Amino acid sequence: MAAPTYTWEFSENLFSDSVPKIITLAASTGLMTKVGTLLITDSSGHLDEATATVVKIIGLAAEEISVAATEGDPVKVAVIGPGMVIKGTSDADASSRSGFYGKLFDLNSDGSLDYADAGNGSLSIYRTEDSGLTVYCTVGSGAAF
Amino acid sequence: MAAAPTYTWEFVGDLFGDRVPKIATFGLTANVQTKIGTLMSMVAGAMSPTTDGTCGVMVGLAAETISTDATVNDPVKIAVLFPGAIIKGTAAADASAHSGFVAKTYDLDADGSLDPTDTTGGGLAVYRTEDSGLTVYCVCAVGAAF
Repeated sequence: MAAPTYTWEFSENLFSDSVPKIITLAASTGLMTKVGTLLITDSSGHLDEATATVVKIIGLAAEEISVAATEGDPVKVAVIGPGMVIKGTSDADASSRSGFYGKLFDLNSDGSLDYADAGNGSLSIYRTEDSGLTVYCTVGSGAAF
Repeated sequence: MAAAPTYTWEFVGDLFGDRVPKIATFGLTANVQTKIGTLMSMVAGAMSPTTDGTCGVMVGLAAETISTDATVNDPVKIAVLFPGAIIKGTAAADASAHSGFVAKTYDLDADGSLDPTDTTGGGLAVYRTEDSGLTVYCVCAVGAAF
């Protein structure tokens, strides 16, 4: 499956000046990424693209995988932790959801934030720009915390 | 006598930055003993070695040996763990299939080893393994202080 259209980038850390570390984890079958694809871990401990259910976010892909992966292929990941802010794209004006309105916001299958879906996800919207289409989010609950 | 659990743990690193544990002093439960590296949990307002069912309220790693049964509230130095802290320990059986953050509520056995079949009442996620899955590097996902 092609990597989702929209990617994310690390912005800052609300609680300190720490930045993500890069670690290597294992891909699930068929994984494709861009740099900045938001990744989750699946029930067998492999990486998958964060799409419509982002309950176990682990980080942002730090490399492009342009050919569908075989299970276990190595993938470099910038690991996201509590307080870290990631910058991405919303599918509609999300300005009314900023200020940590909720912490269960979810994505669409194209990797954009679904501002209308505050269930099954694990993102919280810190602030927005560009008429609410650029979102700065923290991770409320992840695979590693 | 309640001897310290057989298996100890050690701090390895921080998944999210370069922090290291701070040492704080807590009060012990009666009749417990520790080794350096015994994983400790807060149970009923006092520190006890983490055992089956108490890993979800872990606080840190004992930073000193207590070789005589403690009296209630005896002080013990503990290296306080935090979200993303990586600790290295021993699994009771091959835990390699549980690596990659499969779950974040893995628990310990009474001897201080990780029980890879028990995801009830715990607070560890298995990051990676070595030695045929018997050495585990775990991230603290759920604890008494976070």
